[in-house]
Amino acid sequence: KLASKMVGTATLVGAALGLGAQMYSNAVRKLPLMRHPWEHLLAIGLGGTFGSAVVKWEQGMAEQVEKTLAETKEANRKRFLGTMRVE
Amino acid sequence: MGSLGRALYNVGFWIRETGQALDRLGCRLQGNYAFKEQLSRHRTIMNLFDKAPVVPKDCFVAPNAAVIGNVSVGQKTSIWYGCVLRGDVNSISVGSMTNIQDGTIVHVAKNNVSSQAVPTIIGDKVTVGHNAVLHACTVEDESFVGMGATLLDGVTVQKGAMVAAGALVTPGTTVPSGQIWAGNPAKFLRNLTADESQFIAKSAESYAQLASIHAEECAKSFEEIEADKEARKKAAQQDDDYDSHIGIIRPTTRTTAPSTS
Repeated sequence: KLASKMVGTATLVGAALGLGAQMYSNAVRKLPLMRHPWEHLLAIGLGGTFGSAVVKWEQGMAEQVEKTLAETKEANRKRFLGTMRVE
Repeated sequence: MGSLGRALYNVGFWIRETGQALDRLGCRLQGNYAFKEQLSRHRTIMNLFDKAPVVPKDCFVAPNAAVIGNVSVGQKTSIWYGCVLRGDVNSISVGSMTNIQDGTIVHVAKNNVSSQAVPTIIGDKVTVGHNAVLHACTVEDESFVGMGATLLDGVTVQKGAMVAAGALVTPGTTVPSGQIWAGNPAKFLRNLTADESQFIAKSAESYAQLASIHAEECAKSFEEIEADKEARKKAAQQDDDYDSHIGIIRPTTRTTAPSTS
């Protein structure tokens, strides 16, 4: 449940970021902020996708790291077996 | 309009912009590039958000005049070609049967020397000559502003007074009724004669009549104009010799097209 909530928040934040980026892009070109309003929709969509993708990637990466760490731990345990006390 | 109205206006703007973009996309797909033709976007009567001009039906506003923002106009008033009435920062009110002749600029002030926000008020049966500049002033009923005159902020032209052509009336001046002021800066010249006083009202009425003719002519559709042209061609005077050979007797020369209705 927490994960899905995180993804939802990240999507919202990403959407806001996308909208902001589009508005900033208009502002630096000295255009009206809402020039080409449909591009803002596109930016919101892209930003939302990016936000949720980042969170998913992070979660996947954390799992991966945990797995790798466990493997390393196992390997180390094997390496030290017999020479010193292992819990 | 509150902030909600303004927000709705903005959202409507975004939606319409998107609609136009979709329409342009459709035109491109169809290979029709007519939308690239550059035409003047002049609008005779233009609103600024909720501040839309109020113009009754029986007024004549020339098609190339610009009436913008907070402007209210009385009955039978005429605003002639090339006028600009810009009620953006304050209101402009024009009375009935007034004529504002070609090229006149009427504006209002928000910031000026005396730091008072003044609307422009023009009374009934006022004649404002060609190319006058009326800036944040009050022109009362049945007064007359000559061609090319400039009325600056806070000027009052009282009922039945006259400002001569080319005069520059300095800020805050009052032109009392029955007097004529002229020059740069405008000064009292003399009192109006009875004839001149009568002429002011007469001028307003004759201009109202003229305006109705112009209004009718300007309201014609493309087809009506083409029909007029045809009629004029038919009614055109032939050579007298030609006419006499055919046996046509024309009593008078027609200079205008007959009614096509």
